[in-house]
Amino acid sequence: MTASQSLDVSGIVRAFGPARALDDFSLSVAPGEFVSILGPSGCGKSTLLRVVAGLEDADAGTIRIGDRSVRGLRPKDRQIAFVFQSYALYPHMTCRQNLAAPLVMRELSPFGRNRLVGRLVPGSGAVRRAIAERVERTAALLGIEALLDRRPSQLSGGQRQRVALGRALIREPRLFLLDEPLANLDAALRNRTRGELHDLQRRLGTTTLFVTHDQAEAMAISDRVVVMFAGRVRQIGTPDDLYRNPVDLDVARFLSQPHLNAVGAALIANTLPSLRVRGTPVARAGGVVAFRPEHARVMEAGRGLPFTVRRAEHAGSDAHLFVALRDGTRCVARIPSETIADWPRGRHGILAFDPEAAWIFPAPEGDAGHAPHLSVVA
Amino acid sequence: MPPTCRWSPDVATASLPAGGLAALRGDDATGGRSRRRAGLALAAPAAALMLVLLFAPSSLVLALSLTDYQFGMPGMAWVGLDNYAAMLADPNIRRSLANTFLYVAVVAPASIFLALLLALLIEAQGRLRGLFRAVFFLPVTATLVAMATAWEVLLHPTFGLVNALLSMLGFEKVRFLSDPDVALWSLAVIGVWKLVGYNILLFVAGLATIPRDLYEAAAVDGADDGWGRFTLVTWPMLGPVTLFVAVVTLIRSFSEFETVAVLTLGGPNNATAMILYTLYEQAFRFFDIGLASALAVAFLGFVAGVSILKVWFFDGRVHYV
Ligand SMILES: Nc1ncnc2c1ncn2[C@@H]1O[C@H](COP(=O)(O)OP(=O)(O)O)[C@@H](O)[C@H]1O
Ligand SMILES: [Mg+2]
Repeated sequence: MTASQSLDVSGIVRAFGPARALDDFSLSVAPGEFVSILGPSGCGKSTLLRVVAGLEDADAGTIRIGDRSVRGLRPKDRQIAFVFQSYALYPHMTCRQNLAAPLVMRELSPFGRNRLVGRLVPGSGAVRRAIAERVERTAALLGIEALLDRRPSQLSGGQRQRVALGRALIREPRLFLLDEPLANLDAALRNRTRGELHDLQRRLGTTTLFVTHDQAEAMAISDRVVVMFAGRVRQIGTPDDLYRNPVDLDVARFLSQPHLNAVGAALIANTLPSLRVRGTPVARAGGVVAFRPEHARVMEAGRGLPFTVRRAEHAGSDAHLFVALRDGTRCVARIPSETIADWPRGRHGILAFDPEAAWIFPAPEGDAGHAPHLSVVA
Repeated sequence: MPPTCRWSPDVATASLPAGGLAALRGDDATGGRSRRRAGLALAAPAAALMLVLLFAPSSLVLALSLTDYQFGMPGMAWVGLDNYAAMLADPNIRRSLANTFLYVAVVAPASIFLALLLALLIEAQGRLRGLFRAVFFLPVTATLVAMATAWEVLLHPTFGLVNALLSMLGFEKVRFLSDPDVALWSLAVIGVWKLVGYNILLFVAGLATIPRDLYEAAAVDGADDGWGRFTLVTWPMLGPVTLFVAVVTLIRSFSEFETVAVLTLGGPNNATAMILYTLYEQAFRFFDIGLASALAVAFLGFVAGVSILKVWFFDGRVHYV
C-alpha cells in the first residue's frame, strides 16, 4: 500500500463567468485524515473536488499532494481516486471490467487492451493475470464477489456504490475524493454504509475528502469538518467544535438541523434584563440570540419569553413544539412527545432556554433581529 | 491493502418491500381482467390501422406475386413461384439486384462512418457547432428531386462545375452519369451526401446524451487522450444510436429511387438500375404486376430481415439493460 499523503490547498479561486464557485479557498489535510466538506447545494463542494482532481482548472491558488505541487499534472497522474455522486460506472462493462478499468488503462498498452490483438503483445498475459487477482482481492474487501459478472444496470444503488468505491480503491490512491457518495442511497442504507465507509477508510488509512450536504453524515464520520458557504470556508473544526462553537448564525443553523431558534437580543432584554448568555449581558448585546430546540423548555408560568402555541410535530420519543413569541418571532422547543396534548394550538406559555448553550451572533444582514422570521433551515 | 476488512454483504442485497411491486402491477384477479380489457381497447385502433395499412397490402402483394396478373388484362392465374424464378433468371433484374447490393455495401458504411467522424469533429469544436449542424442537415430538409437536379447540373459532362474543375486541373472530363463504369459510383456519392446529414444529427444527439461524468471517470482512470476516451466511453455509449443509424441507413440506401429516377433512369444500359426502380418499371411501364410483386416481396423480405436481425441479435448487446 502506498503511504497516505497530506493535502494542502491554498488560495483556490475558480470562477464561472462573474460568479466565483471557489473564492480564496484554503485547507490543509493531514495524512490519513478523514475530512468532510459540508455546505448547502451549489456552494462549490464538487468544484473543489474537481479542482483537486485536476478535472477542472483553478484560476488561482496552489494544490499540493504530499510534498509536491500537482500543477499541470493530469488527473490520472495525481494518484487520486474519485467517486462520483452518480457513480459513473461504465454501463457497457461488467463490474469486473469496471473494477479493472483503471489498471487496464494504465498498465496495458492500447494494443494490449484489445481482446484479440492483446494476446500478441508480449507480457500482457502476466499483467492481465495480476490485474485479475487485484480485482478479486478488492471485490473480497467490499463483499461484492458475487456481483462481478453483472452489469451496473443489474445492480441496486447500494451495490453500484460499492463497485464505484472498488474502482476507486483498486488503484491504491494516495487521496480519496468522494463526491456525495451516499446521496443516492435510501436513509437506512445510507446510515449503515457511512459507518462501513468510515471503517474502511480507517483500515486503509488513505487521506480522504468527503463531500456532503448532510450535516448528520459529516458529523458522524469525520475527523474534521469544513463548513463552506458560497465558495468560502466559514469554519473548520472537529464535529464537536462545530456543534458547540459555531462561528456565526449560518454555521449554527446548518449544524442544528432541522431547527435553530434565533431571537432578537432586544426582545430578550425586554423580558429578561439581567440575563447573561455565556457571560455576556443580553441587555448590552445587539444582534440575535440563538439556541437549539433541545436547549429550550416550555412552562405554564415562570421567568422567560411569553408565547402562543402554533402547532406540534410528533418525532417519536420527542416532539417539536412550534410557537410564536409576542413580536411574532417563531421558535421551536423540544418536548417529550407524551406532553403534546398539554400544548394545543393557541395555548399561552413561557419559553425558557439554557443561556450557557446559547450564542449571541450579529443579526443577519437586512434583518435587525426584530423582524419575525422563520428560523428553519431549508 | 490489508486483507481482512469485509463489508457485510447483506447491505448489498437491500431490496424493495415484498408485495409492493405486485400491487403496482395489478396482479390480483379482478384488477387483472379489467386492466386487460382497458389494454385491448387502447391497443385496438393502432392494431386496426396496422392491419389495414400494413398487413392487408403486404398480403395482397404476396398473393399477387404468385399470379400472372397483368395490368389491364381481363383474367389471371396462379403460377406458383414462376415470378420468382423469372426474377432470378432475368439478367436485367439480376443486374439490378447486384447494383443494389453493391450500392448498399458502399453507401451504408461510408455514410455511417463519415457521419460518426463528422459528428465527433462537430462536437469537439465549439463556436461553429450550430452552423455545421445546419449545413450538414440541409440535404435532409431539402426536396430531393430539386437537389438531384442540382447534382445533375454539377455533374453535367460539358458545362458541369465538377468537370470544369477537373479540366482546369488537367484531368480528362468524366461522363459521371452516362459512363456505365462510373454512373453507379456517382449515385453512391450522392447517396452518401444524402444520408450523412441525418446520420450526423443522430450521432450528435447520441453524443449529447453521454454523461460528462463518464469522461471524467475515464480521465481519472487513465483514459484522457482522444483514442482512450473514444474506446472506453464514446464508442460503447453510442452503441444504441449506431445500431439505429445502421438499420435506418441500410433500409434507406436499399430503397434508393429518386436519384435513379431523376438522374439516370436506370441507365446507361441498366448500369444504375436498382431494385425499387426496376420494380417501378415492371409495374408501371411493362404492367407485369406479378413480377413486380415478387420484387416487392424480395424488398420487404430484406427490410424485415434487417429489422429482425436488429431486434433478435443486437438489442440485448448494445443497450446494457
Ligand atoms: N461547469 C460549470 N459552468 C458554470 N457554472 C458552474 C459549473 N460548475 C459549477 N458551476 C456553478 O458553481 C457553483 C458551485 O457548483 P458545485 O461545485 O457543483 O456545487 P455543490 O457541489 O456544492 O452543489 C454553482 O453555483 C454552479 O452553478
Ligand atoms: Mg455537488
